Amino acid sequence: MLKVTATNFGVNPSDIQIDAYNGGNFIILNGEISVDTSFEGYKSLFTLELTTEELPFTRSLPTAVYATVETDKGNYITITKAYVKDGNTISIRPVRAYDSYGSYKLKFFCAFAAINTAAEPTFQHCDNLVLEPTVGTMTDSECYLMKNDNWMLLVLKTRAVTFDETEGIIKANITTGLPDGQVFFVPIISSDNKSSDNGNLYFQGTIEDGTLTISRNGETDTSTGSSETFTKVFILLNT
Amino acid sequence: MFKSTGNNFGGPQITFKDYQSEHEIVLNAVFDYDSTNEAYRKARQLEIYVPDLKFSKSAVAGCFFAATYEDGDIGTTVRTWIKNRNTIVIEKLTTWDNYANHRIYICTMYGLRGFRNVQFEQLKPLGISLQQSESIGYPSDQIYYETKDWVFLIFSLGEPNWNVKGKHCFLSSYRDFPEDIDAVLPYVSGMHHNGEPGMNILQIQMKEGQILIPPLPQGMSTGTGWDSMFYAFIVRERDKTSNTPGRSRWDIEALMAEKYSRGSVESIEMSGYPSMISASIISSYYGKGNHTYELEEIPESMLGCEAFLIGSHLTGKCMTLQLAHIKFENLNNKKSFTITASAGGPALTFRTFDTSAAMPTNQ
Repeated sequence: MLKVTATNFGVNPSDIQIDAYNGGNFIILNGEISVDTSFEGYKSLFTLELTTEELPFTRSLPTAVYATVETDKGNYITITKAYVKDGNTISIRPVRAYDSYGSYKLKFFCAFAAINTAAEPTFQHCDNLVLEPTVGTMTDSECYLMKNDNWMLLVLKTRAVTFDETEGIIKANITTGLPDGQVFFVPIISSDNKSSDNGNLYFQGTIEDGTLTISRNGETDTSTGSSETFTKVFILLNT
Repeated sequence: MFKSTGNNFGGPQITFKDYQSEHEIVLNAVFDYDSTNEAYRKARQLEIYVPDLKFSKSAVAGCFFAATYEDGDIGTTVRTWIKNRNTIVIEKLTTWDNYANHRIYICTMYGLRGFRNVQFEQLKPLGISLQQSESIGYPSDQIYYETKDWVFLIFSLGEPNWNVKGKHCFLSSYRDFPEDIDAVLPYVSGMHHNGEPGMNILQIQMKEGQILIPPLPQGMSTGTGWDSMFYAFIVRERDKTSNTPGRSRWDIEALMAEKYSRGSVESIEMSGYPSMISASIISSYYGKGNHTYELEEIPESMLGCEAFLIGSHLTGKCMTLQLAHIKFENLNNKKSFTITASAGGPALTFRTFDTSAAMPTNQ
């Protein structure tokens, strides 16, 4: 667990639940934080800062944190830049395009790697998994999994998906590789609109016991599918 | 960074951020002084005494002057030059001596005076496209140069839009401004409502790769047709930490620059086992979904790996997402870097600032 002791944007540290894996030269974070854009002082913040107990390194390379917002036109997702600023601070750039919505969420499925370290080229094998749709359709799907004892990197992309009309979901078996007994919720990004000022629409993906389920966002969501969907997430594993 | 050792106008000790070379000195400083004090009244010009500068005489340059006023500062530009190795001079302007507090913004490059036969390195401007969190005005005349030690930035946001009154506005660019800058700077905008000569000089801040324009002052007049303006040389506080032995980092600018297509890698760095790779890339290569660059500069340690990264498109406010794929190879003794628009869009028109895990190629 990432021990947050303070924030500069009005969130009580006790309300923050972020799981963390310390890999020495890198940390992986999973969790989310709600940002209240009406908080006094938020409007003039250059960065949102999480003050934490000692981090394993004093500065990281930049990484992308997902940010999501709910609007009456759908649930949108984008990325924002974050980095370890010093041994006790994680710095995240506010998503100004979401300010007018009153609140948005930062979703951590990311790795922070230490800057300026010795790097032996040790590339870890990545499995190429097969997705077999059982409800709805997926076209030309690709799934890559790099799995360790404590974490995994999952990359998924499909050229097109179609929701099942009656159930409003897409379901696919993922052949081997994914751990059983743990449920993962991941954003599945849809690439319908490339010039939106809110980002991409996204769906919730649930991975459980080797099955990926992509769900519409409630009863009002009438999405039929999109030209492409994709995600890239670091996920912590129960050990 | 250095501090002044004295001055002739009763001003405070001044902290300068500096870049100094044989032919140019870039200085950043902001300070106030009281125009009612005796030393100021007696001074013919404002002299700031400083530790040894790199050269002893500069050509005349400019800096910004503001008289602070409750409805918004008012001012103009004044001349400045390096008089000798230990003295910086600023022109004394008495136009606003009826206002007690004066402020000087130095965001200036001083060029060595009288040198000849020097080989110049011509810098290439980098593209920026200013994004505003609140729409102050239409960005134009955006000129941006970046070196490892300083940046030079010009832009206008036209005549400020009064709908943003009372609001903070952040300016950012798809090409992030360097994060090693923390500078207080002037933004010149519009005539002043009290009818005096000069313009509004608004204090703004550049930090964390963004520029914050605070709420526009009450005294800024509107409907005058006067465009706003920003002009500054800004010193970078470059991390001078030496490289850890075995560090694997690739810093390179333009990979490819054609009239309508540009690819650049700001930096790619890899860390230890299991290798994580962080890539800051800007690609505006329209009409292509992947491209291979053959480059000798690619670090050996990166060869044989590939990675997926999340990026964002360069269109609009850079909000929509792209799955990007990068690959480093050494084929037939040719080092290559391939970038692919993997999902989210068909063209290499996106940026990344993401960290991912490196996997071996051709597994």
